Amino acid sequence: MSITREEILQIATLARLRLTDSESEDLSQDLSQILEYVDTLASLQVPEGERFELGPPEAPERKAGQMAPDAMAHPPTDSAPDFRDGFFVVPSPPSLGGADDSGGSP
Amino acid sequence: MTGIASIAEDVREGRVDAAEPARAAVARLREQNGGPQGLNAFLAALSESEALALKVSSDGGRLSGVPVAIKDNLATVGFPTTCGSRILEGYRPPYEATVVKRLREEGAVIVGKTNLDEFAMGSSTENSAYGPVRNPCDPTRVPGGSSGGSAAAVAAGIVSGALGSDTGGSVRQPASFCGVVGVKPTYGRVSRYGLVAFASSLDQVGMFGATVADAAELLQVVAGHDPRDSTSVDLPVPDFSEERDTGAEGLVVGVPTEYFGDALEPGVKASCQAALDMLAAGGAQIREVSLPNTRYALSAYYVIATAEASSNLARFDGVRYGARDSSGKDLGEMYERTRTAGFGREVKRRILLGTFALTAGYHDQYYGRAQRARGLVSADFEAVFGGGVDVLFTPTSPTVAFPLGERVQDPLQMYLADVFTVTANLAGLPAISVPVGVSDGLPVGGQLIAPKWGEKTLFRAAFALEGAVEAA
Amino acid sequence: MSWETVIGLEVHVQLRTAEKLFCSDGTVFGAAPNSQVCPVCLGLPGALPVLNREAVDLAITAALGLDCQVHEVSVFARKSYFYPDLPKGYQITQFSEPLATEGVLEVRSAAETRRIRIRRVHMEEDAGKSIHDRVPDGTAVDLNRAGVPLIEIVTEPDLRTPAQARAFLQELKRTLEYMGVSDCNMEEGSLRVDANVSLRPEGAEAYGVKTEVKNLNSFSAVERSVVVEVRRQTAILEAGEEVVQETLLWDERDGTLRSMRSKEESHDYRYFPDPDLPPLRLQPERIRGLEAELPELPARRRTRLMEEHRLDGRDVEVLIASRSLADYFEALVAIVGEAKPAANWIKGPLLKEANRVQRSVEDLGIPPRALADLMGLVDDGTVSGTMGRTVLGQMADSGKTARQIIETEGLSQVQDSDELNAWVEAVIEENSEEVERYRSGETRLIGYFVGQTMQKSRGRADPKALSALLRNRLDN
Repeated sequence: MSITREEILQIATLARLRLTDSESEDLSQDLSQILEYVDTLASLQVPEGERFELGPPEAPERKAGQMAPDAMAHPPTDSAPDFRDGFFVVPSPPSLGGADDSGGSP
Repeated sequence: MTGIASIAEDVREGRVDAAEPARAAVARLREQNGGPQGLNAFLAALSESEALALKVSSDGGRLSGVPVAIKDNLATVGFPTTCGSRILEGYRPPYEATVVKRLREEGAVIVGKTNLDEFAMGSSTENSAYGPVRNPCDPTRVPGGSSGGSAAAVAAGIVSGALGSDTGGSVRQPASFCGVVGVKPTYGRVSRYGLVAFASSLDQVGMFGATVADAAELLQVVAGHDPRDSTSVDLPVPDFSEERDTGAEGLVVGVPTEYFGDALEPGVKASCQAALDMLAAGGAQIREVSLPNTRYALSAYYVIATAEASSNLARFDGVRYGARDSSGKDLGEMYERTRTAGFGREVKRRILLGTFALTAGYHDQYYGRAQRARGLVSADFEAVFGGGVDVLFTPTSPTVAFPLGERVQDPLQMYLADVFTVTANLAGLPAISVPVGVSDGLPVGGQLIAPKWGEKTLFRAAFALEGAVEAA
Repeated sequence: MSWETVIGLEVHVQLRTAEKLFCSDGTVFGAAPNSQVCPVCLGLPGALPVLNREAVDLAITAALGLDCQVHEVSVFARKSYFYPDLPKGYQITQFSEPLATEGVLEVRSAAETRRIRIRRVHMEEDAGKSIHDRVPDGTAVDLNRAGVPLIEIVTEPDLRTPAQARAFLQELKRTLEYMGVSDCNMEEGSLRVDANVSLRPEGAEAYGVKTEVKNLNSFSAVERSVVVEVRRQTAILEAGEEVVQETLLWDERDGTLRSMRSKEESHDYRYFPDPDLPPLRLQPERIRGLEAELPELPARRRTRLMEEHRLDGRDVEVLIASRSLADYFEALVAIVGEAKPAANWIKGPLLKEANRVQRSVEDLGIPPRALADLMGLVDDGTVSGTMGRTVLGQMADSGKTARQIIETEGLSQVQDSDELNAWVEAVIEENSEEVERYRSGETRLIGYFVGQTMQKSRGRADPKALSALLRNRLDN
């Protein structure tokens, strides 16, 4: 399986990464090589719907009051690049229609 | 330096000042870590004055006064947590990882944070944004990765023990390259709360020690259910060292043919063969077995690990913490510039691969199949253990430590170094690397793998192997 | 060409839990920004989610109340996208294995009862809030809401008119509120709606291209925006063109829709099961237990009240508007013994007071017993009906009992003939012209005299007794 430069650039956009021309060239080669190796998986026959599970068999559920929020040594907002009047501040999205106040899901 | 248990006992009994082992560790660190030829194993450490001012309690903790190092992808209060990345340069988490809390509760002294491949992605610690680590056995060579700093810190005798993380071999392989013991517990045995996630279904916190006993001490203290980690399992923690004197008599040791093929360096093969002979001489039954789905393991690993990583690293966006590049004109540019400048080449490579594997068009072909392959790999182990094998023995890595700079340009070559270690992560099994010999002056590690929750058996075999090697 | 409108709704409902879905922070609305946050909901490196049991119970309850099939195994999945109020860069939701599917909600209107099918109900965490106009040079982000438990309720495209959509939402809100699952308050954001709208030729089976309408702040906005969108799509289709699949934002101020099309058209959310959370496995007993505890839902309550208390449909509709109102009514009936007067007092004076002070009936400070007392005081003539309504208003404002108010303000109805006569005499004396007119045949002026006397008595005179006295005095 080989990946074209265009595909790499599309994937990079999904991941919010910007690649130079030579980077996208190199990376599409790297990834193509890796995917070629990984294509050994293509010959795999496994019945559908088999879920591989690790860890506990079911999600533990906590009752109200059972687990306090982890005590913090200092306000977490201390590490924020731009924090004003109680808010994290970021540059505005390019088109303000991107997500509204009601949840952000585009 | 003496072992962890005896240091702790000396401190508890008052034979040694409680802060003394840690002060000595800091002195050794200052000698060996910095400078152009230094190990560069530590990214942050107690300063000389901090070490002098140390007040350490001696009231009965199992690790009283023991100096330990923590891989820099575990959240600590008091030191930054950079994950070896520019994107978290100077970042100070407001909370601490459960495993770190547990060490402190037992009186251990955290001497510093160790260097690693960026976000634990790598097999040589050359992917750190803060420079590579040198192998104490040979400073022109890599210590292995991604927990190279922790392995080197123990191998150089700076600290008595160290925590690392193991996603595809990142504790066992550096242990092998540096000639120390490195153990990865069963998935769910140790809390991941506070471990910066690389691949959530593969990551486990692992431990380094100069000896099997030391590694077991650390695991004993940090193991156990954590309600803050929904993937940690609520099972009682046995005494992992209970069978330390049982020996190899009657132990059935499986040797999977797939791990002894052409990829193996002759020196490594010879040391491992010798180790098997020693076990046999000690009364173990050596049995050849097959794990036929091993051929899919590396592919499955790289798809699953990178897919989960691409998701886990999405939170590094410059909004709430870490570095931010605000030179662009809007939010979109802020994200791109921040992440592009903040992540190194290997991390980007894996994020891209992982993102690709999850995209709508390719999800089933890659991610879906990889998960199913994982089931097959796991079933192989179950079949073998179910057939009467107590532990498996394999080389930890196909080679000894390679020279710095040799593999950085060839990612696929680098990935192939993990071929023997990824299977234990895929199947969630406990595994340990024990020094078994030397090849061309460089340490060779032998790997033992036990069934799920079989740490007692794992350590039994490890103690036996270590004893046999020492006696030889 | 005749076009049929096809509408489906996606409703996000905040669950009324004490804690967030995956961490123990509080969920109080209106708290100081970024004060209800912890490593988990901030998405700090190394933090991990732990599921909230109360949220699961409420989600199951909601699904049962909507007649859904609740699945014993469901899986949490990661939905990936970048936005500043989404701390982890992914939302934990449920995708291919949701909590519940295949439900139905009956919506009654004057004309008909429609069964609207529910495609699925699943659990997910809410995002924080991005406020674009708070700082001049950027967007302000408050993560208090990040991690609050939501259920997403998706209907089949069974709605056919904007009015039906509105009616569905009203019934949904009421049903959820009856179950105590959510505050369902659109102003506070605990209930949010997106509408999917498409058109197809009347009688056709295949669905047309659907668009998604977002940023709806009220049920009325849902209705109005769908009207606008139907109009827009109709115009496109009549012109022989095709509707483009897109997302549109409703602008409440000017009643228009704006396309959200940006350079990255398609969102690949790259769903996969969240490796930090094992599957949610529900024991059948747990589901059955929650089913047994389901409170009586509006439809059942309606029927029962009509039958048990022999009230008519319109009365009952008002009384079952909320569970607390229906509970109030039944408590009041239990005390006073008669349904019709209780219904009248609630429908009229009590709801009027509630509207006036902008509070719900149960927050007025007038428990059923207090209202029952007042009703008794009117019945036995201590105060007039009109005065009784005034007293009710004062009860709402002061929290005092009816008796206290009547005594303090001296509002009791006067029936004593001496006092009444005194007022009557005064009024007759002051209004000689009207007396003349009355006596010369304008007998309907009796009302005027009663009014004047009532004023003189500051409302305290018993109007019936007054009327009789006045007639007597005027006729003689």
